[in-house]
Amino acid sequence: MGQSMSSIAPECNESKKAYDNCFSQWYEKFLKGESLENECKDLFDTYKTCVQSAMLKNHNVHKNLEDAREQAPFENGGKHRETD
Amino acid sequence: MKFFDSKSSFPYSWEQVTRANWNKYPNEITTHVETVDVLRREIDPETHILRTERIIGVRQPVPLWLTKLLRTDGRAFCREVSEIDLKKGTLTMRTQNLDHSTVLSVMETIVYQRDPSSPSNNTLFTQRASFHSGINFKKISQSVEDFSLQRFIQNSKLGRAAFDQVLENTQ
Repeated sequence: MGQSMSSIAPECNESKKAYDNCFSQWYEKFLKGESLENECKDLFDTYKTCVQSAMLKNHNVHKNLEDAREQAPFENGGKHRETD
Repeated sequence: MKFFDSKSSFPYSWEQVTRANWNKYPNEITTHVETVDVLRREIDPETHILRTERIIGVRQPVPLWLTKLLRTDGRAFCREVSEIDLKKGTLTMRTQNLDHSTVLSVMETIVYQRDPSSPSNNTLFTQRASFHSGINFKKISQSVEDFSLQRFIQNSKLGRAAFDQVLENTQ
């Protein structure tokens, strides 16, 4: 897919790339209805740990994200509690 | 409060569109989008909906009067939650800005839907966005909302052009 997108934290670029590649391949199976398992779990865990620790250093982003999650929960598809 | 609504379609199957959506960035057109990170991704065990949370970092010049109100250097972050429903043939993305949300809150919902009349080569697109400034002076809050709406329209055009290009390249 050509160039790869940067991560919020440069130190996570590599683990992001590895995970994104795995996901792209898995997504083809998902589209065909062949897989409902998260087959990239290990790569995602490595990448996620990297991003999380980078975000914890950025207090503003972290706090704003927590607020947004409270207002529009993931489980609810990011729908706002009040509006929609 | 201001709103923006738009409807169109893409001459590609829904599967192609959702695949390209993951590969939209980086591209040569929407260079203001600097970073994209997946924060959470799960498959709902009952509905089989693939749900993803991402944080998107953007950088765009902001006029001086707004720089002071928003206390920004032009860098900002958005949170996006997307849902892919294979059975219904829908990809729904809800995005909101994370910074300065009391001064300006922007919420966008995009739906890509399989076109029932030509599922193999067309996907329907709907976009809705709201712009709300919590500033107590009406004149200022309206200026902020107006600026944001215009910027949003510009960015949407860029986003469309970029997505068309990505789709063409994945053919």
